[in-house]
Amino acid sequence: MHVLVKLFAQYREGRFKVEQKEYQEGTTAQMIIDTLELERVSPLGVLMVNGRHVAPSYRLQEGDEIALFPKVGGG
Amino acid sequence: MCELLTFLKEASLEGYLPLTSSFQAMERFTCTFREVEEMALKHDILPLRYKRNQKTISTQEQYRLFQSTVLIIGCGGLGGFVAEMLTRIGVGNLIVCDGDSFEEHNLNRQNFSSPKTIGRLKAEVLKEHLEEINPALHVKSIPTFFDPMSDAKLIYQADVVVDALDNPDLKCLLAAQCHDAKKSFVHGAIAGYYSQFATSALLEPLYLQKGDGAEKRSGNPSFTVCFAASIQSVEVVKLLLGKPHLQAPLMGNLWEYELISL
Repeated sequence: MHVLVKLFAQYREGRFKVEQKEYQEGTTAQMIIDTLELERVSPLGVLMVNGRHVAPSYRLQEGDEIALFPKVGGG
Repeated sequence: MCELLTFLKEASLEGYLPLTSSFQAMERFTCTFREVEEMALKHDILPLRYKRNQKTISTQEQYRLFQSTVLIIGCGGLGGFVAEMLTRIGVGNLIVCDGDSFEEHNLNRQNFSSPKTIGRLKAEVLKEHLEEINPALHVKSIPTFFDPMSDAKLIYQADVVVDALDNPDLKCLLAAQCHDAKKSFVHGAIAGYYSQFATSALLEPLYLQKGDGAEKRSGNPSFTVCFAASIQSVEVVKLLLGKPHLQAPLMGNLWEYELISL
């Protein structure tokens, strides 16, 4: 299935901003996070699919758009 | 008091009350600077210091800001600049809370940090500087770290609460407390070139995983701190004046941001 992956802030460094990706049926958001090794950069802050907050266990569907933001906590 | 008002009307120049007239009024009527400015604003006389606000903020709105109380939790990067901006725009009462003291590594970004203030409590330094900028302002400094249990009463005293903390867990707790107390709440956070904002929202969806934020890796540069503090300040002012505020968290791809969307 096709999923549009959007990365933000520090997650983009050495990766990409937006890419159309091909994943197997049943792929979860957490599996995408693991494949991209995002947690090596920073813990996950925000996870949205099609503009809505979802849990990392969310199973992606054909045509979904996933957005991943690192955790930002400085004050 | 009627005589004071007559004096203020006569002492105004082109409709604005200059500082020198306020000081004269204090002496003549034995009252505080704050009482003079309050009397003026209440009767539609604008202190000259707000002249350049006036095309954006009317004199009636200026009086509303004067009567408002904003609680700022954290007096570091975000808190120091939010506090100064709210002071200059004319918010009348600020409560600033932080148990930390200025250190050398704060000098790159934190307002009012300088070689002279290193080692001093941030909340107390802020109070001194803010009241120097505007003597009509009332600042309460709480020089202890925010404690969600014992500081709950502070939240009730405020019209708007500003999250200028640097700890994601505490940020989430504060947001939840404000939500329960039905208090307006303005969140901001930064890391490197990036910042995020949310108004009157719970923060768990913005802090999904445990652990240090990206700022530990990307740092806290001054321009991002000031930018984020500006967004937070305009959110506070809009909340106080009943203007439309952010409806959804603002994050990512931030090239331009209209400071108000009508």
